[in-house]
Amino acid sequence: MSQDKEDLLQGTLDLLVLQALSLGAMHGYGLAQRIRQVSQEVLQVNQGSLYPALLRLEHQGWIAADWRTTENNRRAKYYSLTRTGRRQLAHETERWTRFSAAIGRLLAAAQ
Amino acid sequence: MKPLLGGALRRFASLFRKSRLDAELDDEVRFHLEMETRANLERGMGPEEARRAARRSFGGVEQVKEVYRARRGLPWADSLLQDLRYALRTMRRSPVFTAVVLLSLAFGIGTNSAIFGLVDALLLQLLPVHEADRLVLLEKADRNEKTPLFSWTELARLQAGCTACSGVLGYTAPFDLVLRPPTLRNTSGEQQGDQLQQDQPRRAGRAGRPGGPDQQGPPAAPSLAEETAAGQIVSGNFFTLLGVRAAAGRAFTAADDAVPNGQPVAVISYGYWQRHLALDPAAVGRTLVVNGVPLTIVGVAPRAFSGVIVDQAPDVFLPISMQAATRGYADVRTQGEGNHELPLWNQLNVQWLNVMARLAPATSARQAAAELTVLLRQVTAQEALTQNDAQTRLDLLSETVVLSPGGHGVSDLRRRFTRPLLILMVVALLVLLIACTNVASLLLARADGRRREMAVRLGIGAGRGRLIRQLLTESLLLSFLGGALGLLFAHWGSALLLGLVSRSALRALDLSVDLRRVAFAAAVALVTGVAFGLAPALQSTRLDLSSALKKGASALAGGTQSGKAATGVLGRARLPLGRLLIAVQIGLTLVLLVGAGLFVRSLRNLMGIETGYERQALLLLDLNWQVVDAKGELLLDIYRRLVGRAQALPGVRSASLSLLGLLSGNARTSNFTVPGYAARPGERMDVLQCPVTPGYFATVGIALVGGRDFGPQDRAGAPAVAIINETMARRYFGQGRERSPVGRRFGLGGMRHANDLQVVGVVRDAKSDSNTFREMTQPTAYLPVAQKPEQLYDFEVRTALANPLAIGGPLRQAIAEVEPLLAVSSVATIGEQVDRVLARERAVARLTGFFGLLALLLAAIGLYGVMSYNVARRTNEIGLRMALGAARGQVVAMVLQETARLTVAGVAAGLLAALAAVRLVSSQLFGMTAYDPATLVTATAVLVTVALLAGLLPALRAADTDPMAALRYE
Repeated sequence: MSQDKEDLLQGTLDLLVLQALSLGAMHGYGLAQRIRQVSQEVLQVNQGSLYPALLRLEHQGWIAADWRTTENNRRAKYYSLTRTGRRQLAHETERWTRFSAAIGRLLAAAQ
Repeated sequence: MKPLLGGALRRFASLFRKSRLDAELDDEVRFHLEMETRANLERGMGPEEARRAARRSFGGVEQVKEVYRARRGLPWADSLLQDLRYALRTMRRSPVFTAVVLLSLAFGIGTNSAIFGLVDALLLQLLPVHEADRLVLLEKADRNEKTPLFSWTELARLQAGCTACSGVLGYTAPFDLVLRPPTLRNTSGEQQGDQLQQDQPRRAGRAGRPGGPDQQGPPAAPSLAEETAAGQIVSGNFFTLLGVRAAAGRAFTAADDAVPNGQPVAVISYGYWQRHLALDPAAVGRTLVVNGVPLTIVGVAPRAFSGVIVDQAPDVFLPISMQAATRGYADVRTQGEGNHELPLWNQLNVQWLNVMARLAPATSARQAAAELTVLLRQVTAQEALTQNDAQTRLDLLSETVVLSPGGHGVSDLRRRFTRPLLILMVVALLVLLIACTNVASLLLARADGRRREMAVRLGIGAGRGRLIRQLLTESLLLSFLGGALGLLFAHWGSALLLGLVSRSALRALDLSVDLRRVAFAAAVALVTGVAFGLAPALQSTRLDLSSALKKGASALAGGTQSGKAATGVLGRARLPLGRLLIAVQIGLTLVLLVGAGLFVRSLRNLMGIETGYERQALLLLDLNWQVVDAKGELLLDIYRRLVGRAQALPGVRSASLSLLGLLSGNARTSNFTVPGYAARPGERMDVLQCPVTPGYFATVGIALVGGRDFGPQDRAGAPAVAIINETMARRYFGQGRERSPVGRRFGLGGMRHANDLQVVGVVRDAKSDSNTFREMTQPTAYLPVAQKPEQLYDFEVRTALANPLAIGGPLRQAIAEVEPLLAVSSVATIGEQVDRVLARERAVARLTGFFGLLALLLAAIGLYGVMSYNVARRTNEIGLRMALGAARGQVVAMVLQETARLTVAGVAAGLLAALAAVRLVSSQLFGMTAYDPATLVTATAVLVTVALLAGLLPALRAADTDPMAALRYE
């Protein structure tokens, strides 16, 4: 597994997960589906790499997990955003916006 | 920061619920895959294809799990656990190796922490009192000597006048007294019983028979309810100044001390409360009968507090005001010419109190000492007025107060055992070092055997650092397990050690394994684990891969080398560290053996010392007269009856009484004057004085060398006489027949008394004073008690029995029949008494001897192990040699040669080290120099013999090698 890819993924994946969870608690599969849909398949993430990311976010205290029952009566681990997670999301969003704006300006200037 | 910390905690916690988390992850992944599969099915895929697609889009399931796991826990802790598991498995695979290593480490660490426990309790710990570091001990110094004892008048002056101190307190050493505890069995009736005792007149109260329903014990043994206990007299401000609060009731206050005999109160120790009163709070306010005097228990001292004398635990504290009434401490351990029958508190001349002060805030010890000296001289000036001798007056007027830190309390054991303890600490460290070198060489040998394993692991890509960490984990696991075992050893080891030298201190010193000792053991384990583990780890991971991977390559390399080395010592380059360790071990062992030899010989010298009395079949009884009121003729009559009754017992040859007895620890000295003898300037003339009953010399077996023994004519009213020992005769009456002291005169005290006593006899020098047993005999004067009756504490009985103790029971009974109030504190043979005096030397000799043998054993194991290992490795080469015609003897010699070489190197280094080290112990030796050739030779011979024996076994095994089998061997 290439180190670059993971590094690249981390920041974006974190943001995607936090953003997705800001709408409400979700299980891992649900998250994977949502990210795929929202990014319109641009971000082709290995779905498996989602779980270590979730664990990392959990360790950072940004998300919390608990076991619940799904609508079709299956046990699944649901993730939800914590208060620090919400703050982190705002922070990340702002940073990302600034970053992409900067990249945009840079690319525009290069043209 | 908080979430980070929380994350760390969560990660740490996850180490311990690993399996559950693994299962959860499995569930989660399975759920994901099933959902995806179902979605794929809905998209119209076949079942098999749907499943495969789900897996594909998920990525490698196991990889994800691995990443997940690595991220979940603390990676280093995870690999630590892995290493530990691996280490445990390795340990289980070689149980004998593990047992040897663990035991030697446990012993090494155990003895160290046992001795550390003693050092800590005796030397390092502060008293459990408020701001112990502000306490100072007072001593009085004149131009000749220092004494820690003060008179009550002096103490009172210091207490009243010292502004540089927050306060000044006084206390006595613990002393024997007779106690009768209150009975607390039930609440009704017993109150009445208490009352009854309190109202009884003193003498009846001392009979020790609680009247009415509380009666306990058969009437035939009247002193059963009473028992000898340890008391301590303290000043009223003792507890408050130390900042010690009572565990129950109240502590003394200054008011308890204000009026002589005014406050019949006592504070009991926690231990006494526990042992006799079952921690009953109702004990406070009850009556405790002390030496026949009823005192009210006002409080209980806290559990951790046993006074300021750390190795003694008094049962009861009495205020100074009650000294006279209880006749507490009215025995011989005071200094000066006071009258011991009178209360001590108001006698200017009797020095009996130890004194401590608490420095006032922001005051230096020097300021306090200056002020205390001024105050002291105000009292000694008065005292000087009573003295005739000019020099004595001058001495008194020039006395100064010397302060020393008091925060660690006072300890006689500390004074006597600091040096032996430090010696033992060093010895124990050496033993640990030997154990460590042993473990290191065993590990090294084993690591050598694991070269292939290491090579394989390095070959498949393990980092060297990772392997070293693995090996260190193993050695640290060993050392910590050894340390834990060692703490167990230490737990009873400390008590065992202390028991060797002092039983009474066992009760006073807290030797339980506390945090400090655990920390000590852990630190030692850590250091040893790294120290003995690092070198083998480094060496065994430094490999030439390709050669190590070829089986037998090492043996071949050895073989080539041996071809070059005509001596036949091959593989010398192999394990150079191992060889060094063995030589070091042999050297250290020699140092320990020499030390042990010196102490054992010194003890033998002391045991064989000429004591001047018969050391067989003599029984010594220590009498406690504190509740007996007899004086004068009455007392002499008791003595006559005691001797008569004792001599009537079968097996008793003769009996006598004396003040000091033999080696009782008691001493009464005073200055004296011999007409015609002029003291040199600065010479102190002190004589040990010992009143005795007739027949004393015959009973204890001190030979009369001139003049006559005491007889019935030496009674009150007759000319006062004395018998002196040879030292006194020689030193003060000159030598030679014509200068015989018999008929000449001397006197106890100053010039005024110079002609008081006439010498009627001279006896052989006797080592009767335990304090000077190891030194020159002191001038001693024996006086007939009949001429100045007083209480005699020692009852000597010469028997015709092989076991004199057998007569102890009948003697006690006879004494009880003569005088029911007379208590017997102890019964011992003279042999036991000598043993007690030599307890320190005996303990040191035993322990160093034990450690020496232990070191020898460890060294033998180490040598044997390394040699066996070498022989095993060289099987092929030895086989080859034998095939080529080497005889058995040659093979044995070849292997032994190597042992001999190591031994010689070790012994040479050890002798040098020993010669340097023995200087440290020379002050502890008796009757010999530290450079004792016999000891050096014996120790070397023993060591060389054992080393050669340890090397011989592998050598013989080598000679048994079957050449064919050896050559086929790999």
